[in-house]
Parts: sequence; C-alpha cells; structure tokens
Amino acid sequence: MRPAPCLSTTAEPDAMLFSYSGRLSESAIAASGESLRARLAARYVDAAKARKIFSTYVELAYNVVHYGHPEPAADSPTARVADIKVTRGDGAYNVICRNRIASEDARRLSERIEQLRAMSSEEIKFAYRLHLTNLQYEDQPASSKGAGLGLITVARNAICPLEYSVFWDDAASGTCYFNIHATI
Amino acid sequence: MDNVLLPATQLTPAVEFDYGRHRLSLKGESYPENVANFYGPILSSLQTYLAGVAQARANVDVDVALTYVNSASTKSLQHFFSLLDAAGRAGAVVRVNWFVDPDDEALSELGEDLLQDKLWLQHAIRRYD
Repeated sequence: MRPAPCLSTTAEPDAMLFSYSGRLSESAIAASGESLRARLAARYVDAAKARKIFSTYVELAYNVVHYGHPEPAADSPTARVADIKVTRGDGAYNVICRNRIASEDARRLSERIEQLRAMSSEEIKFAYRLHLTNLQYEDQPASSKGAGLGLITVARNAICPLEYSVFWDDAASGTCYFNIHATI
Repeated sequence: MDNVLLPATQLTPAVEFDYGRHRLSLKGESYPENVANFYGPILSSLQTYLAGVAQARANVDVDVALTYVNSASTKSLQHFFSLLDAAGRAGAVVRVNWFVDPDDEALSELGEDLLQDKLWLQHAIRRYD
C-alpha cells in the first residue's frame, strides 16, 4: 500500500537548523557533519531523529561526491558542489539537497526515486535487507563508490515518500539541478 | 604476522586485531569516502590470519562496537563477517559480540541483518552504556 504523501498544513515558516553550501569532500562532510550533530544536540532534537537526520545528510552528501557533476574550478577538476539544508517545520524535519548532475543521471535517479516512492516502509526495509544480504555474494573490490544502498537508506530514514524535482536550467550543457527532499 | 592497530579517526573506527591473543575489535564510527581504501588492507590481513587459525581450531573473539555506519561501509562489514563465517566453517570457533545502544534501531537491525545468516559463528547482541 502506498504511504500518504507529506502535506504541510501550517503556514509557519520552516526553521532553518543547518545549511551547507559549497564544495563537498570527505573532510567537508566530516566537518559539516559534526557541526550538524552539535546543532541537533543543542536544539534538543530527539536522539533517534537526530541519528536519521545525520545519516540522511551523510548519504546525500556522499552521493554528491560520487555522482555529482563536477564544477569547473580553478584548483580542482573534480569539485562537487551542493546546497544541503536541514529545516524544521510542521512537527518534522526536512533534509533538502540540491546539486548539479548529468542529464542522464537525472533520468536514472528520478526513476529510482519513483520506485522508492511507490513502496511502503515495510517494502523499503525488505528491499534494503535483501540488497544487504546479497552484498556478501558480490565480487570483492567492485566499486569503491558504495554498496548501492545510499538512496534506500535515505528513503528508510524518511517518514513519507521522498520528494524530488529537476531544474533544467541549462539543458545545452547536458546537466541540470536535482533537488531531493526527505522528511524525517 | 603483524597485528593491526589503527587508532580511530573521525570517519573510521579503531581497529585492533591482536592475532596473538585471537582478539579482534572494531570500535567507533565508519563513514570514510573510499571504503575500499580503508577496509581493503585490513580485510586482506584478516584473511591471511584466518587461513592459519582455522587449522588450529583456535577460539577467536570479535568485539564490534560501532555507533554509526554509512551505507557504503556495510559492504565491508559484510565482507568482514563473511570471512569470519568461512573461518568458522573451516574449524575455528568464532564468537562475535555486536555492541549497540538499544535505542539505536538502525544499528541494532544492522547487527541482526549482518549476523543472522552467518551460521558458522556464534553471535550476541550486547548493550553498551
């Protein structure tokens, strides 16, 4: 059964808890992740929610590092840049990640998110477990990029289906802006 | 062979593989950018050690106390436990303690998911506070 979508019922502006805008790398994720954790603790965010918010942040940030479209930069050919916000509103937390990706990746990612949107939380959990179990049968070094569980982890952390949108601001470049919104 | 002794970093756990005492431990958090770079050499070393230990039917005690594991790291943990499970099947007596804060649902479930299909090792989910 498809879960109900999240609908905001109040006009209260979301409180901004945390925002990172800029280049993502292992050290940037480490530093900004710690800053996020400290902020969540300082605002007395429930421990279980705080873990999910942190987990979502790390997964989305690493997805940018591994799959984002590089920005031309003076010092590095592979700088990946994103805008990630954590806000609070309407009794739930929002983690919103926006970054540039290649157009064909946007299509693939959209399909994947649509698949996850159609799944109940039980189905998501089951799919996660199945994939995790199958990892032990995969060839070993394989990809250093990950286990293929990042997006499903984000879906699992969320309390309703993931939302996303695509901004085709510069179609000629073969890239677009991709926005993912997780409600926790 | 040389023990593995790595201090924890912000993104990687402390690793203590005391091969002489047959005690292995992972403690901390795991979310390095390149999981293969971090776990590759450790698991290679472990594999060499385990080949010797199965013959000897040694008792191997493993303590895993992780407070955050990102999705990419789960692949290495699967490999880690698969190696231990294979050693168990080959004759070693492998006991794994998975330490967790019982309020941490994700890590409690991860421990169960990783260990419940490893039939050749004994495991226990333990609380730590």
